[in-house]
Amino acid sequence: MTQVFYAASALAVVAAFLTVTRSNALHAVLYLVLALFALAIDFLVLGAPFIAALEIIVYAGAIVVVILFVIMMVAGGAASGEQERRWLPPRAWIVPSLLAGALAVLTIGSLAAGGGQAITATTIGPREVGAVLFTTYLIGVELASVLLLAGLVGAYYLGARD
Amino acid sequence: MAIVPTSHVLIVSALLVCIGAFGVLLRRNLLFMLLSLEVMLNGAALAFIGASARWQQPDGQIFVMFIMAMAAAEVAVGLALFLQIYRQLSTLDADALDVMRG
Amino acid sequence: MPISMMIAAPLAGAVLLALSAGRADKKVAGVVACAALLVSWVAAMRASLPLFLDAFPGTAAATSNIALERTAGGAAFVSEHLYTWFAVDRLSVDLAFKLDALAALMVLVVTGVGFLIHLYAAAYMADDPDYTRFFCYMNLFVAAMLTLVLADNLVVLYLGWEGVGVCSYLLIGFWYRDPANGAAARKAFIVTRVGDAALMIAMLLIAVELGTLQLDEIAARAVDSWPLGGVTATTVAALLLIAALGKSAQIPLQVWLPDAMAGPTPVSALLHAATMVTAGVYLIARTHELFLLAPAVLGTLATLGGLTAFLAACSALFQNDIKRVLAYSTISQIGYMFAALGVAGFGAAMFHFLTHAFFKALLFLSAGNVVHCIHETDIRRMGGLRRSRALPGTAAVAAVGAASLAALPIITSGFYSKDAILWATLQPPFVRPGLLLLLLVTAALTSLYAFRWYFMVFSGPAGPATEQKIHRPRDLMLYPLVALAAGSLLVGFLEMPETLGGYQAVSEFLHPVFAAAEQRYGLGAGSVFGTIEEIHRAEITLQAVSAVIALLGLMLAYHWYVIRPPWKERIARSPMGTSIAKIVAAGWGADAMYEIVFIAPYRALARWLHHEPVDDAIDLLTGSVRLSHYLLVLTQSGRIRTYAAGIVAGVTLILLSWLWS
Repeated sequence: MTQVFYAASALAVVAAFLTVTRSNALHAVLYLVLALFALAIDFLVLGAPFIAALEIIVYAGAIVVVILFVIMMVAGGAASGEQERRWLPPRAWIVPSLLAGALAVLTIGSLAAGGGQAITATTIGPREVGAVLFTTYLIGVELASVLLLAGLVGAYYLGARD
Repeated sequence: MAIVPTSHVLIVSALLVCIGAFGVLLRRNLLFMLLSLEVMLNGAALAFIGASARWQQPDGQIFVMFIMAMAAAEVAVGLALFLQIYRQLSTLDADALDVMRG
Repeated sequence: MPISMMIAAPLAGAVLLALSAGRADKKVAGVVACAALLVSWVAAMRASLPLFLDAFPGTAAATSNIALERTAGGAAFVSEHLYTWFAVDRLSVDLAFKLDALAALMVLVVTGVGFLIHLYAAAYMADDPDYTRFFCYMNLFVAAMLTLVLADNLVVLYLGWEGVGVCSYLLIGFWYRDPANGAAARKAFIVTRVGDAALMIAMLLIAVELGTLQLDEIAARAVDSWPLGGVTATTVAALLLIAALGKSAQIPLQVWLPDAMAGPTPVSALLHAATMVTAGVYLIARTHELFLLAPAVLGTLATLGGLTAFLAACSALFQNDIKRVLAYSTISQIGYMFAALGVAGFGAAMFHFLTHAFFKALLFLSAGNVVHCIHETDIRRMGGLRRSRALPGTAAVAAVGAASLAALPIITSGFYSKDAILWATLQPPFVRPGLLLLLLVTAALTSLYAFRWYFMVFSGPAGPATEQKIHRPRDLMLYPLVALAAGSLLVGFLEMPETLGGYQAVSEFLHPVFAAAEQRYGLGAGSVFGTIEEIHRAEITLQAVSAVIALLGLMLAYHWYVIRPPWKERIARSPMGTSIAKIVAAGWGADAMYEIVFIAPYRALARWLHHEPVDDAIDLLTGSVRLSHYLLVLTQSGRIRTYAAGIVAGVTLILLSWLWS
């Protein structure tokens, strides 16, 4: 289990890095899907099968698909790849690397110090999740549905052709 | 049976967040910024799952569900905005949106 | 309640008149303003009643239900705390008022004489189109002056100090359409500003060193912690002295008062004779403990007072404008008060303030009557107005005023107050016979110029301005003068010297305020003269000398300015005579000195630099703000990526600072 976790994590990290650095939009999306799958494996290892399933179904299956639709409507063709490469000259990498690198060094540096208690392999299945979700976090559920409604209406209105 | 120390999970999560931030700062195309944003969100989700596993409670998973719901709504509205921007400016260059300068 | 009522009434009057925006009927405006002052005066009497009863028990059957508090030294006072502005650490600054004997004296004079002058001005300014504005400013001035006098701490005092300065500026430049009046107003404001800056610095020093700004606590803590003659005490006292010099127009800051005569005559009477210019005297009397801790400053104070008295009296002798004579006379008389303060004769100084308020206001208002009726201000063109049909009443009251100024013996109040000051210069521990001599010479000059003024205006052969048809002054322009004349004659009997009965109401009333200091430094204890008989003999000698001097001045003035012997005319018209007269009349070249030392070099510097240095210094401030604006605008690029980078950088910095601590 431990090795599975580290392997999946490494895969996720590499795939994420490739996502943000590709010039072709479709390639980037596919790498994102790969990263999401790797993360789903991570979730499984950490004892959250329900969320793992949701990750694949909702994230990789719905959100990424929507992004794909828009990519195909907007950025189709090899021309967009050319433009992307033009927008990524070497000197554009300096400041982001510095800032993100500083952030990474700080967080990982402070985390590496304390080991923290080890996680044991217990699974928290959908039954427990559902029990807490619809009792303690009921209002969150309602608010999330309102949020989705707002997103729906907003997307419809903003995307309409005038 | 112990699988992995909590700090390692958090380190992976931090890495994902930093890569996502790196992507947001690096890319000029709005769509790629959105993809980087999704990477960051997933990094945060991993941290929540790790915490949920460490404390043996489902609350972290519930939070991840909310994160996903929020991400869905955000992506929907964001993409609709991108469509409008593309229709008006014929480009998805983030630097073209500087009307609020000064 | 009565204390704030004193200030609230004229303040409300000013606000009402200001809000009416000049649309109010003139009669209404006059009634509002005078009524406000009347209310203030009644409130002052009500508030001072318990203090009188405390100082003179058993003299009146009246009782008062106002509670009296006492300071550590036993002085009774009434206090009112309105609002705590802020309280930081040990320092608390409140809007609070305190009425003790010293304040009561001043407040009664300000409101009483102020009320009479308002009545006069209601008739004097009746033809002026800016009537409402005038009374708005006058009421505002009285409110500010009362704030100054009733202040419990230096901050409220400074508020009143600045307030009277502003009102002085507004009132001197009342007829603003003539730029000369504006220049005179600016001159007054700028010269007194030097004093104001000194007062501010003194305030800050006191706050830092003593940790309080309340006047009674300042005295107590300074006496405890500052050594006699130490650096801090001397610095603070010197700064307070400069502040008083500015406001009271003493050397070297006296140049503004003669030019301030550009304002209407009621203004000259109220501000520049009776009340505002005595604010310096009040300040020194209030902070007398600090001055007593710095004997060097006290000595300087006396010297400056005496010197100013003498030099200003000389200048008054050669003035030809009816009001400028009185302006220099005011400078000279306040010099007397300063000299008295400098020898720790606090009671004498305040008594002279009381009498001076009466006779100087009287003189100014009489001058106002003359100017109002014959539209002429040069006294060389006047004469014989006493015999005219319009001005005999004015001549009579003016005679009383001039007599009181000259300190004619026995009957005038000026005699007793001036005698008190002269006697104080011989009291231990500050015995200054040289100062006494200077003040006696000045007294001779005072009598001389006072009667010169009277004779050249009202007596002698009629001048060119008198020939024309003169209309009578209105009734309201005479009755207040009669009241002031009565005061000039009767107030003197409140403080008689030992040899003439010894009924010293004013000193007794003010005694508790200065009691602590008197006890600590042995003021007025003992005498240089030995036995009681020798002291009395010395006192009578002094009184006889000053009486003779006053009468001598009267006779000389009559001889020189009514009879006008030819040898005197020849000297006056000779080249040396005229040039001496011109220099002395111009205040011994004070204006010229300021021009040479300060104004001309600055102008030359500005011309050389092609830029005004002070302007540039202020532009530096605005320029730096503008520069920082341009720098900050660069961060508003409008680009998402820049803002995102800013967020990430911010998070990184926060993490860094959190991890580091």
